[in-house]
Amino acid sequence: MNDFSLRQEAQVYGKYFLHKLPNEQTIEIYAQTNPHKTSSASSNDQKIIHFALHHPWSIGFLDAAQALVKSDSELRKRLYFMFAILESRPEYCSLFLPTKRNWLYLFFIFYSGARSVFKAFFGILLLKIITRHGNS
Amino acid sequence: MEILDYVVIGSGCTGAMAAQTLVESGVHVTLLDAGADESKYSSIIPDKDYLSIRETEQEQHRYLIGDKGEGIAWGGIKTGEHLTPARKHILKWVENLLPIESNTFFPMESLAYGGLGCAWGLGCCQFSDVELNAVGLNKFDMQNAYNIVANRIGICGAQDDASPYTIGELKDFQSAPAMDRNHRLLYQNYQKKQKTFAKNGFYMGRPGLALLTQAQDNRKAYAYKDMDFYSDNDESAYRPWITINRLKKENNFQYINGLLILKFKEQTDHIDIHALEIETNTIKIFHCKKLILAPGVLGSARIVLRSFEEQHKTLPILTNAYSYIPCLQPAMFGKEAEKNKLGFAQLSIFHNENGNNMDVAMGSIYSYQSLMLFRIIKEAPLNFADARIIMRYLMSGILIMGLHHPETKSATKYVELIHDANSITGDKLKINYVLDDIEKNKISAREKKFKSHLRALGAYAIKSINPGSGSSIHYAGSLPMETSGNLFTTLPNGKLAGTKNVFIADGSGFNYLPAKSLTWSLMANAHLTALNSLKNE
Repeated sequence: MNDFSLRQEAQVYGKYFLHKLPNEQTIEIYAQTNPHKTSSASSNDQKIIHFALHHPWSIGFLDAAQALVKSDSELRKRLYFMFAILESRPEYCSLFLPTKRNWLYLFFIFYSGARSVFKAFFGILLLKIITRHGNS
Repeated sequence: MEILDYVVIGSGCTGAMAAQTLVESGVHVTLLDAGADESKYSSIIPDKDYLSIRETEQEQHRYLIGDKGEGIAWGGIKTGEHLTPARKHILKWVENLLPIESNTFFPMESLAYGGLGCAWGLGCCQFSDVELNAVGLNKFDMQNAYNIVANRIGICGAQDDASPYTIGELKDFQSAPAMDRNHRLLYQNYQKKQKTFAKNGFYMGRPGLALLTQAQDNRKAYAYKDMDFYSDNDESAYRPWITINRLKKENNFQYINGLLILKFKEQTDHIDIHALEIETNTIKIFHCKKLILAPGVLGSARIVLRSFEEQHKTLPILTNAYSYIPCLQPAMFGKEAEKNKLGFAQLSIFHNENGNNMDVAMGSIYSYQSLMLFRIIKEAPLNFADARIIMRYLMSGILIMGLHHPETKSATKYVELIHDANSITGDKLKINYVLDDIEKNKISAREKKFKSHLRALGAYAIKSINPGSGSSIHYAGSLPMETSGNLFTTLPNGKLAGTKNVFIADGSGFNYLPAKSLTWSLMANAHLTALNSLKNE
């Protein structure tokens, strides 16, 4: 069902976090660590991943929804692997280390939290549609 | 047939201490061990601080998350999940060679060179007189043994409100390491509320740690590199293999690894030790005059149950109830990462509930930095991308409290060795560990008290994470210490009842399990047991 290679998958997930393509080394590490190897993805999981890879705009919504309703899903697992890999790359480490606050920091915290909740609502609807209607 | 003089089983903290005592007394000692080692990652970790590594090292992903991503734990929270790739060897061979059947007990055992001591959090506490009495240990002997072990391993600490529970009466100790900003703030708040805390039976202070803050015996002083979960480069943190490496230079010591000890049989003038050679899967038999078992409580239970060949025998078991509680200290939000940091506990908080130094609960407080963001991000009910933005602000204000509760025996906590045709050893340990409602309620009430006192210091608990019984990695009590001489008990001198020359140097004899850090007491007891084994009683 999944016609994406590990490397293509790495590009999609990397872009979700970075808003740009991750570098070649990051893609290579994702392929090496291969989160699929311990997978027992259900057919619903496969449908969701298939949709996410073909519609990268949906990843934030699906991730937010599954954080609430199925936090151990296969999509979240693969995103989690990419998160850990990006965190262990010196090029991206500044995105993961503690950041100094400015006077707007509370606004950023609440805005990001509220955005995730909003995404979750839309994502739950999307999950229902995907799991009912199958491929893309 | 070669008959060895003294054989010690296991290279963990207790085996190392027993072996050192014996070697120093001049007798010939052989240490038999599985000895799983790690060289893949330890050799590539640079001698730099954590932040410099993160900012500059291209190969960091190898030791931070592992070549095959083995440091990325996904799924439910399990015992030992926090182990980093460079520490994963602690679990090598365990699943195959030490099988366990249980849905109520989730222990961590090790066949590593240095045993569980390779991942020891270094916490050092002396048991109070009443605790020692409940455990079954002599307070005068133990006081002396605490000092001897402290001299060997190097302990740092401070004289403060917590010292009666940590370094106790220890005279010779190094100064405590510097605290990071997060802990300094918490401790300043405690000092303002000291009296109220004392009235409620709560005491906070610096933990005793088996960590050098000044160089000693070719080991360097702690350099605040915050790489404590990955590397032992400076040997400032005590690990049992430091002792074994030194003993290897002595003429009256030999170390043999690659062995899993199965059982022993006492003959008229010697003891046969049956060992499985791990690589070849063949049985080897060693002979000795005196045998000191220190493979850990579950390991000793297996060996003794096989040796006495009694069917369907159950043995008691103790483990501290444990949970860890992530807290947020808002005053620290949005502070930049600190370069010089310590990965070990920086503050301890004790609750002397009854005011009698018995059933004292202990919380150890850590900062969160070098275990990386990805390990905690999955706990947030948010999408990973937004959670990352939030967590970067919160991270400097995260404190983790590991909370241990004291534990007593009951009929619903036991181990049994059962037949298993699929196991290499032909058996497996079946463990049942069920707390009754009174115990559960006590734990829950105590946890609430700890949380409310942390809240009073400006640290707010987010949740309690309970990985299940066994996750404290503190085990005791399977061969209880008593004078009856019944089989499956330990005599007060450490001798296994029903034998002439077999001694137990790990925590199997402990009749009660205080919540305090256990390892110093285990090592002191191992030293005393080794001394007793030298006597011809």
